[in-house]
Amino acid sequence: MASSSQFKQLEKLGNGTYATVYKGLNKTTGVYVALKEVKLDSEEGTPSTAVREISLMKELKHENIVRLYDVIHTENKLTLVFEFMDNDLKKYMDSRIVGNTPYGFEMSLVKYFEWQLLQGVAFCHENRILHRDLKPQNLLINNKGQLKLGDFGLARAFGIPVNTFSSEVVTLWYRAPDVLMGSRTYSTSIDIWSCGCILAEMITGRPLFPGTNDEEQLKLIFETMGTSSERTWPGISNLPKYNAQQPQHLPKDLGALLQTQTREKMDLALVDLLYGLLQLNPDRRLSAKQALNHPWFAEYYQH
Amino acid sequence: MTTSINETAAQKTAVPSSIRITDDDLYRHSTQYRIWSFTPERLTQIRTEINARAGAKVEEELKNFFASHLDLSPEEKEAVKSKAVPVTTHEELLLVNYFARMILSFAGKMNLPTEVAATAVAFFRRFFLSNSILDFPPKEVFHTSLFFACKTENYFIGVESFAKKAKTTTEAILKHEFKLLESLNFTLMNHHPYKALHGFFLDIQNVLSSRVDMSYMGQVYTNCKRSISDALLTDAVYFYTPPQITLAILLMEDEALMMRYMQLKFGLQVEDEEAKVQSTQDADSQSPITINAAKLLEVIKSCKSVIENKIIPAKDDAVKITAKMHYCQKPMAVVQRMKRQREASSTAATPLPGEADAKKQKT
Amino acid sequence: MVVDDDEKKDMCPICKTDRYLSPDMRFLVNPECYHKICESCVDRIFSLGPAQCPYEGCDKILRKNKFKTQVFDDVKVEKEVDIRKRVFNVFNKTLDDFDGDLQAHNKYLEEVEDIVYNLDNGIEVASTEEKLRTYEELNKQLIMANIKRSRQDLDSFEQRQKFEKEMKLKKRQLERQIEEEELANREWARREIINQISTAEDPEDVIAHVKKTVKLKKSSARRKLEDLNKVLKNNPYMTVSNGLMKKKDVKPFTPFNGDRELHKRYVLSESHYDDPFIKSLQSKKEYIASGFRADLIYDRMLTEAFMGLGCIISEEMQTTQLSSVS
Repeated sequence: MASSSQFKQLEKLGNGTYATVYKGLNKTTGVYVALKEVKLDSEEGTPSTAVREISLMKELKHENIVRLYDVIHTENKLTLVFEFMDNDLKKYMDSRIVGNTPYGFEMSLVKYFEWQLLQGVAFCHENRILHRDLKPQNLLINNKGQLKLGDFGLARAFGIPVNTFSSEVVTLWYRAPDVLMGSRTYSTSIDIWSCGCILAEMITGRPLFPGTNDEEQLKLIFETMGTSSERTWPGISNLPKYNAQQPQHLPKDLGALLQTQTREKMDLALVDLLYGLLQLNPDRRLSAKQALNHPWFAEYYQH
Repeated sequence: MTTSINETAAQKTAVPSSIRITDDDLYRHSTQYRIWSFTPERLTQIRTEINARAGAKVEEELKNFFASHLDLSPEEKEAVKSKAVPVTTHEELLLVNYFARMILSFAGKMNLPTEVAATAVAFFRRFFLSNSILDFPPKEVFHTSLFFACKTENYFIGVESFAKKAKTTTEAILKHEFKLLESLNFTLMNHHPYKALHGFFLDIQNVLSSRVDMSYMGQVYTNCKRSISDALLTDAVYFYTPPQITLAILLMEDEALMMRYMQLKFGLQVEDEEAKVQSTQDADSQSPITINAAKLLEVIKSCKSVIENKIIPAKDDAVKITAKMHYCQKPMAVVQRMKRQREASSTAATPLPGEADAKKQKT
Repeated sequence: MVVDDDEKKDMCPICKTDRYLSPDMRFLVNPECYHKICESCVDRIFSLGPAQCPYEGCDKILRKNKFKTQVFDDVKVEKEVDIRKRVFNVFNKTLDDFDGDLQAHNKYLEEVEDIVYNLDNGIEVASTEEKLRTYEELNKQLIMANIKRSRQDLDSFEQRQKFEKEMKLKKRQLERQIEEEELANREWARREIINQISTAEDPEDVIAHVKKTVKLKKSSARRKLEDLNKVLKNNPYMTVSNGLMKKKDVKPFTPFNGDRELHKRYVLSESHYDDPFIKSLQSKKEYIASGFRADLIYDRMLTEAFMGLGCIISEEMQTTQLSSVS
C-alpha cells in the first residue's frame, strides 16, 4: 500500500466538488499523478461524496475512465491517487478562444472525443452506474488525445428507480429537461442529455443552453428544441414543475443553427445523432450503446 | 485450471480472435469476486492467522503484566491465568456472528432498507477478516458498519440522528470509521443476492409459465428474501456467487419447484419420464445456455449445506467470550474481582508482601 | 489568481528586470545552490569564468555551463529530482539483479532512498557523496550494463523513428528528383523534337520516338519510389499509427475490451411476468414521464440473476490463493 511520503505534492490543479486536487510526483516511479485531497469532516466522518467516488472507481477500470490508483490516509485527510491527465475539456476549449470569439474543434477531434465520452458512459451504464455530472470540466484529456471521465463525486449505482434520487444533480447547463421539471426517478438518459450538450459545445466552442436558473434553462431548451406535449412526451404534465401555461415553440433546425457558429461542415449524420441525444422525452433518447452504433461513427468500424 | 461449468470460457481460449465477455466475466471484474471471494481453506487460514497474531499479543501483554505486578498472590496469578485466556478462532467467529445477527435486527428496528443492512453485515464481517476481536471489540465496530453502509448505499442519514436512534454517541460511531474503510481495502461495492432473487422470480414465471400459482410464488419470494438475509451471515458469501446462493435458497424453500426449473432451464437430467420429455422440448426452444446443469446442481447443493450449517451463537456464549476479552485487556480486573469477592466474604487474609514476592520469583 | 509571490516569480532578483516588460526573459538555476537568475545576468556575471553566486549570503562558486532551465515551479522539487536522477544513474539495479528476491530489493531501495534523503536535506553530505563515489567505482560494470539495458527499449523506439525519418527523407528526395527529371525531360523532348524535325522527313515518327525515350527515362526513378513505398508500408518496426484520430483495428463498440456475449441466459418475456411492484411503478405517470421502462428493469434484474452463475470460486480461486498461502 502506498504511503503519503511516496508522493511529492506539486502545484494545485483545482477544486473538485468536495476536495482540492494537486499534481503529484510518485517519487519511486517518477510518474505524475493527480492527488485529490479530502478533508475528513469531524462531524460526519468521511464525506459521503468521497465514499461514493471510492466505491465506484474501485470497480470501474476502463480506458475512458480516470483510474483510481490508490487511497492514502493521513492524520486528518484522505488522499485519492488518480491517474494524471494533462488538461480538461473546459480549459482546452477556453484556450481556443481568440479575442472574444470561441472556436470549436476540428470535426475529426469532435468525433474522437465524443466517441470516447460515449464509450466511458456506456461502460458506466453497463455497470449500473450513473455519472450524473457530465460537463466539460469533468472530462479530462491528455496529450495523446485520450478523453476520460473524471469526478465521480455525484455518481451513484442505480437499481430500480425509486424516489430517492435528488434532483440537485448535473450542472445546470447540462441538465436534462425531465430533471429540470423535477423528475426524481431519472435514469441513464440524464447522462445522455449531457453528452448531447457537450457534443454541440465542442462543435461551436460555446455552451448550447447557458441558462442562469432552472426556468431560464428550460426556456432556452424549449426555444431551440420546441415544446413538448402529452402526445410527444406522455406523462409530462405530471412532472412537478411542468408549466402548462408556457409559451409554445416549434423546434428549430439544430443543424442550421450550429452551422452558423462553426466553419466545419455539419453533416446530416451528425445532426441526426444530436437529435438522438437531445430528445426531450427521456424515453426517446438514445442509449450510449445505440449512440456508439450511430452512422456518424461509421469510420471507427472500418479498419 | 480445473473444469468450469462455463463452456464459453473454454471457447474463449480456443478462439482468441473473437473475445466474448460473458456475464460471468463481468462478475469476475468486481471487487467482490477479486478481493472478497475465498476457498474454504484460504478463509480458515486467514482467520487462524489473525487469531494467532492477536493471541500472541495478549500472551506478551500478560507476561508484561506479571512482570510489572510482582506483588500478586499465587491464587491471584492462577486466577488471572485461567480467566485471561486469549479467545480461539472459533470463539472469534461466534462473537462476530452474534453481532452480525444483531446488525440485521437493529437495522430492522431502524427501518433501514434491506440492502443497507446486508451491506453493513458484509462490511462488519469483512472487517474481522483483517482484525481480531481482541484488538477491536465488535461492539465498537457494530454501529460504525451500519452507519458506513448507509453512506455507501446512498441512504442518507446524518450522524447525529443516527446516533440518537442507535442510542450511542457520534464519536463512538466515527471512531473506527477510517479503520473500517482501510480494512475493507477501500472496496465498497456489494452485489447481494436480493436482485438475483428478483431476476429468478421473473425467470421462473417464464420458464414454468402457467405451471405456477402466482400467489404461491409471491409467498416463495418473500420467504426467500428472509432466508437470504440469514445466508448473508454464513461463509457462503465468500465461497459462492449471488446467483448460486439464490438458487441454493430456492432449493431450500421448495425443492420440487427448483428441480423442475433446473430441468427446464438448464436441461438437468432426471429419472422422471414426463419431465424428461418436457425438458428436451423446452431446452431446445430456449436460447443456448452454456451451463452444465449437473455441475451447477452440485455447486448449489454444496452452497445449500454451507447455508444450513449456520452458526447461531447463544447469548451465553457471547457473554462468556466478551468476559474473556475483557480480562485479556485488563488482567487487573481479575484481581480486583477476586479482592471484591474476598472482601465480601471477608475471611481470607492477604499474604504478606514478602511472601508473595518470594513465590513469584520461583515461577 | 494573483498572489504576491507571482510578481516575485516573474522578476529577476539581480537586475530587477520584469517578465512583463521583457517577455523573452528566461530564468536559470545552478544545481550548486538553485538560486534563480535570469539568462542575461548569467551571461553578464559568469561569461568570464567561475564566480560567486550573486545572491546575498550565498558563497557558492558557480560555473556558467552548469546553469539550466528550471522545470518545476518548486525549487525543492527541482533539487530533489536532480539528486534522484544522479543517484539513480548510479544505483540502477532492478529486481532482476536480485534474482527476484523482493526483500533484498526492497532493502536496497531503502538504502538508496536514504542516500537521496541525506543529499536532499544536507545530512552528512560529505560521507554520503563518498558512499556514492565508492559504489560507483566498485560497480562500474554493473552500472554500465544496467544503463545499456534500460536504454534498449528507448533505443528500439529511437531506431524506429530514425528509420522512418530516413525513409521519408529519401522518399521526398526521390519525389523531388522525379519532379526535376520530368521538367528536364519535357524540356529535352521539346528541344529534341525541334532539332530532329528540322532534319527528318516524318515528324510523326520523330515525336513518337522521343516520347518513348522519355517514358523509359522516367520509369527508373519511378521504380525506385515504388520500392521505397513498399518498404515504408512493411515497416519492420511495426506500423506507425496514422495520427491520433484513427483507431487501429477498431471493432464495433466494445466497452469491455471484447464484445458482450450475445447469447443471453434468459429470454425476456414481459407478458409472463407478474410483478406487482414493477407493475405499480409502470402505471405511475411520473415514472412514465421520466422514461421508466419496465422491460429495461426486467432485463437488468435478469442480468443480475445470471451474473456470476458460472463462476466456481472454489476452483477458480484455488491456484491464486494457494500461491499466496505458500
